Amino acid sequence: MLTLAIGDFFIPERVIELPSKFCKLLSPNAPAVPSNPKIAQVLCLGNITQSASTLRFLNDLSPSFHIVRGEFDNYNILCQQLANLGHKSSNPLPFYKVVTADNFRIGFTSGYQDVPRHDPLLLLTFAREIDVDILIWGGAHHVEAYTLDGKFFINPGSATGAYTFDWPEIEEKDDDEDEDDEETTLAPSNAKSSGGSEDQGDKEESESDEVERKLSEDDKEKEIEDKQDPCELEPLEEYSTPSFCLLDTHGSLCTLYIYTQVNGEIKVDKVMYQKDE
Amino acid sequence: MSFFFKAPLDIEIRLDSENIRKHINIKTTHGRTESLPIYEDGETVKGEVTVRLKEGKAVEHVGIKVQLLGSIESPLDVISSSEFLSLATELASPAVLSNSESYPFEFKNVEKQHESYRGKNVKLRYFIRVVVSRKNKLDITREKELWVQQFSSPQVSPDAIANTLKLSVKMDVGIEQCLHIEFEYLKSRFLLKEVIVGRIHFFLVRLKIKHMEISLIRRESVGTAPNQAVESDTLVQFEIMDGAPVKGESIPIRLFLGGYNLTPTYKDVNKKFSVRTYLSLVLIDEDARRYFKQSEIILYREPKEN
Amino acid sequence: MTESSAVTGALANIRQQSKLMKENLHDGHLLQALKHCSNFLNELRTSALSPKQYYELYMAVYDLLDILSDFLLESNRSKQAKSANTAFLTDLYELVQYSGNIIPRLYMMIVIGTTHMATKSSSTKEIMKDMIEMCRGVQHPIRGLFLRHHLSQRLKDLYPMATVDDFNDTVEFLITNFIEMNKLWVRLQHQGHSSERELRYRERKELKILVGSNLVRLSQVVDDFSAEGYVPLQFYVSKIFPAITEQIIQCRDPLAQLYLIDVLIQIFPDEFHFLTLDSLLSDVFLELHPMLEKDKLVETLVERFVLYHKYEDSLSSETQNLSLEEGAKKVQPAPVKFFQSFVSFYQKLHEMEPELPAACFIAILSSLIKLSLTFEPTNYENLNTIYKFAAVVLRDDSSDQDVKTTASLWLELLEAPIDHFSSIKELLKLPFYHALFSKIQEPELLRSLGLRISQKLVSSATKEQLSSTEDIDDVFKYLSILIAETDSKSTTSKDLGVQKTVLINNNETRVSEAFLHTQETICKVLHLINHSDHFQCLTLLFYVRKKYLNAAFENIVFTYPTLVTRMTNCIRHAGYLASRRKKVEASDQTDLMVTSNFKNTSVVIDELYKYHREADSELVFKLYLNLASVADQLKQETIAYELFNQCFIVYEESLLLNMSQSNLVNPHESMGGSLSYQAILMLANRLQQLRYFSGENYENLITKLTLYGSKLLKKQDQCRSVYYCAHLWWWVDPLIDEPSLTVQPREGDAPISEGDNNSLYKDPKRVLECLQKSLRIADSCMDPKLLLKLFVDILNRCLIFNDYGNSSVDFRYINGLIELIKSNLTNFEEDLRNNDDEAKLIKQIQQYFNRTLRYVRNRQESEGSLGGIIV
Repeated sequence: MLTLAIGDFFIPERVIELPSKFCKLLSPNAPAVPSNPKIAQVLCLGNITQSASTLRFLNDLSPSFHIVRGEFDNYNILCQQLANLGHKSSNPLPFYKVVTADNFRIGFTSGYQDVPRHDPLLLLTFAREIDVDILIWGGAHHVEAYTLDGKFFINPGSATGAYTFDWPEIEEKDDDEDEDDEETTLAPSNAKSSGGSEDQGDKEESESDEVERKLSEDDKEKEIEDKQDPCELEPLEEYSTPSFCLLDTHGSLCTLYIYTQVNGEIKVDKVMYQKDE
Repeated sequence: MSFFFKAPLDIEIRLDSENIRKHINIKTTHGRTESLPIYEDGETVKGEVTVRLKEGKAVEHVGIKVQLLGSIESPLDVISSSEFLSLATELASPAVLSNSESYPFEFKNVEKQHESYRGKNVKLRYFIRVVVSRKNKLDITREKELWVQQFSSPQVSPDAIANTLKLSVKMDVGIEQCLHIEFEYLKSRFLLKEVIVGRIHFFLVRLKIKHMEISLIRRESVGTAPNQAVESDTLVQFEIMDGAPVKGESIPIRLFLGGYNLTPTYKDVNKKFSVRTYLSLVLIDEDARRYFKQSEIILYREPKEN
Repeated sequence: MTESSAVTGALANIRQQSKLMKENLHDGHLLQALKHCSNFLNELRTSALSPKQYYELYMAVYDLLDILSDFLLESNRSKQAKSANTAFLTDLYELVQYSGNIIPRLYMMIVIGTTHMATKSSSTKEIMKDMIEMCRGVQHPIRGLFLRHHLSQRLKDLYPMATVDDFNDTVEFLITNFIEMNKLWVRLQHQGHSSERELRYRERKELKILVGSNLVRLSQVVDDFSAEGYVPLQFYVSKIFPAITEQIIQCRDPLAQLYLIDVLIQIFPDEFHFLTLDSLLSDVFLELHPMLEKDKLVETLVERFVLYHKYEDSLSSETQNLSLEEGAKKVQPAPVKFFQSFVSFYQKLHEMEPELPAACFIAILSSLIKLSLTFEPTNYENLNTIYKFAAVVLRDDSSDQDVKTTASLWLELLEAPIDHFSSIKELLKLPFYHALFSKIQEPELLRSLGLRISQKLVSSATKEQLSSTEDIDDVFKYLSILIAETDSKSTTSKDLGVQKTVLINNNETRVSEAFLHTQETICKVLHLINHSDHFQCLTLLFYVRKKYLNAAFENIVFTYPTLVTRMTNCIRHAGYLASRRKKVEASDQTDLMVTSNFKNTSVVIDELYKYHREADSELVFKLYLNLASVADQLKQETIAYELFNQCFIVYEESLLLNMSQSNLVNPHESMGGSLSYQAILMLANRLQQLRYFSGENYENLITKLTLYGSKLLKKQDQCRSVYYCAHLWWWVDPLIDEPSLTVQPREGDAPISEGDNNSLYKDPKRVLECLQKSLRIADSCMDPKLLLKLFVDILNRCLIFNDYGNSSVDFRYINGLIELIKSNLTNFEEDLRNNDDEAKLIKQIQQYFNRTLRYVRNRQESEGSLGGIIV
């Protein structure tokens, strides 16, 4: 069973539209409804920010559409837009929701009510509270996928590659970037892995060095390119990497497909998660 | 006469090579068709007369003669019949016929001034008459009609014909504010087998014309005014236009004459009668009113070849 | 007799006579057969039928004449085989001319004549000429048309084409027949009573193909013929074109002219038209009937050229693919002249017939746009010229009624190039494009076009940037109407149900989804405003706000979030760059610019707050939060502090008592809660990320927030706020790659941090205080179940802090809490036996508690962490 996890669109607040390649990939049968013949349910992590067309696009993908509210969603308008699409429940836009897929209980939330958000321990606590095997949360603007205490945690990133006002990521070494260990059920490739807070300090130092080195390199490159203004750097990415996740569940095995668009090309990574019985 | 008394003789007039001579079929007033041998002007009329006895009884006669006669006859009293040609030859002197006897005869190079004609009110006939005269008894006669045709126009010289051939007929006619047309025939004299060719130009058309036709009318006039009998006969009716033309149109006319039984133009034949042919152009409008214009055409028999 | 029975009668007679004809033919009685043929042909003399019915008769007769023709051809062949006598058909041709009625006569002449021609007789051409000449005799429109059609149908494959002479005669023949048929066709209009004009018109339309087929045949003949020195193009220009167009002009009949021009354009190759274009436009089009819709003609012509262009394009690309040889170049005049021809035509037309309806002019201009875009896709001057003309028409087109009726045309005219270009910046710059736009009075039109333009801008693959005020003006002058529009119309009951609507502004205003979509599109256009220099970009954003966006304060609630977010992001980028730059050269200038931009952006947010405080304060609050976070990231502590203060003000003024979503709150859910509770958490999340605040300021803020949290209306909100706020005293993520200002020792203070990492702000005591405070709040809860749930929540919070290494939250404290929960749970043993909702709820809490304990056990077993906790 295929479950799509997607969120943090910020249309039109931060970006103009979904990458067209994603649109084509996700809705091969458009304008037929459902526009994707394979996806069984869509979990939207919020931050649609008022774009009715985007909402309709997501709603029409599969027979089953679920959405939770994001920090920047206009609760009032979005609820009515959902009602116009036929979602008439008393609370169409909850803070979290639990659905099932095969043997999995999947919880999902935008997660902005956790302080500090994205903290694995807090996420774990919440997963425990609502008793789910998989917790999908939003707002990170980059893909994360890891297991903790036998549970699977997924952040599908931003589907549109919208920027965030959080601190810019401190750049990490790209050690595991090209690791193609598809069999692994633990450490996902291409995903930020943080098992806990213990090793935070150690990491920090090496990361700082890395940033410095990178910057000086950039400086040189820029000088060659543009001698007039050696200081014109681009230390911040204008956008994050557009991404979304597909969960392919079979019994107690979940294969997570991570779709990212890098330099206009779509990349797919795979992470497996086996639920403890 | 012969109705009351059975004639004791049979007279047969046979013309030389009659079988191979051209004949013309003429419809009689009784609706039968007569076949008559055709002779030309100046042609010798030659033949044989055979007199046969009936019942084998001998017949006494006071002479047998053969005549070639040309006459104009009319049932009306506007003119009296007249013979314009009368030739005679004695075939036998008075005798008693006891056997059938044949007598050849010949009228050499007979001038035949007029063409044979059978009209409504007048006939022009040529015939051979054999008369067996008997004493105190009625003559026994037998007639055989010939048909005479002339193969060149009798009225005009060949030169004049050539001239008039070139002359086209053009006529401008109209009704004020309603119609203005011009019609044009390439010529006004036609051989009997010729074709009338022409055009009609429309300059002004305010009539609702439905169609247009031409007709040929034969007019036979007998006698002289005021005692004149005129008879008109429409020989041909020929539609040449369907519908209403607009200004600027020109409509072609073509009428083949050969297929019709036309009569050459005869003018004052022996001061007794005339036969003329008129070409009439008729416009018929939507209310079936007819507008026409007639003009005479001269018809003549084509000169014989060689 | 009704018409249909007239047809039936006629057909019956035709059947009968044709049967006799066939019998006679079979028996070899040709003359008798012809007689019967003539008899059934007589049926075609009727005037009682409509053209359609007449056509029925015609078709029946045509097939019968085929039989006759075949018979004649066959018997001529056998006669010729026997002797050299070829006069058989000639004689027949003469014979049938004795027929007294012209219709049967001519039909038979044509059958025999064409049969004769088919025998390749020497007199072919004479017969051909004779037949067409004699056809003049039929001046009745319908009968004449069919007769002449019969003539050309019979002649179809028989046209003499062997020599140039033949060819000329054939062309002459076809042109003559065309002219005569056209005259008849035109004349049909004037038949009968004037009240039947409409009927006549319809009938004529049914008959048009008869006339047009002559031209089709003509074009085939022109194309088929080949001889030395014969160039079809030249022949067309010198002979065909003048003859045909002369007739078209002379007939002075709108229907005929429209149809025949169309046929002319369609059937002859484009190269022909290129060469005669000037003449066609100026000498022909302008001379046509004033009633004629010349726009249709121009449209046909242009469509044709456009098609040609596409075809040539595909052809040339194909040939390029197939071979490298240079294909023979087709005659195509320089496109400039091309367009000029049309332009001068337009000018002349406008001069000669200024009173033509505007729609006509617009349609022509529309075609010209198409032409220009096809042949000279980048020639903006052409477009400008067209729009100049259009503006003139619009001025003339003064009455409102006209504008409404031609509205879609105006729209089409303005929209046409939008689809065509990948970038429409150049288009929007055209002075006359805007001149025309601004002359349009109809708001619906402007709105539709504005939306169209903005959609095009944002959907184009290139996403062209607007990087100067001129660029912005070029675009936004078309969008003003959208920015200012209010969607009050859709509140009328008529639109309800038809259009999906959304209530906004505390359910006081109803707007359509379409309206929201428009506002969304404007927001997307804002994204196009960009500049490589972020300060410049900010200037542009402020410019667009001041000049355009704040034209309608009602709508800023839709556009400002995007604007402010863009501004915030720009400042962030600009600030980062400036801070990097500072490493190279000190620059107070940029610092100042960053500061002032923060202030200006704050003013923009404030403006939004001012006008939309009632309904959208939450939005304002979030925008402030973003800006404040960015200010901290850029080390603008003062500003950040001030902005957070703004957040508190908005919170106090507008959010604290906002009960808009409180009906949905389930107190047992750890997520959710009142709007004010959410606001506290949002704030907490932002404060938790602050890194460049002085310790004093930071503590001021978090203390204040914790206090606010503890004063929330509901117990559960208070309780949770406080334990979440505990995290503000315990950082786990450094977030930055340098030491945080917050943790630097203050004068007179002992260092607060402990442990091995002094870059993270940690105050274990205050954490414990918070947890204790939240426990107290929970304890004061009147609902024992909620109390229990909160206890379990706090237990989990304590575990987190224990995990973090907070020594104050030690196993003893946690064990105490566990005991407390356990003892509380025993109070519910009675209730658990029931199977009601309450029991379920308690069970859930119990399970959560059990899961928590199991988790602790796991951790202890697997990692040895969370030591000392008794489970």
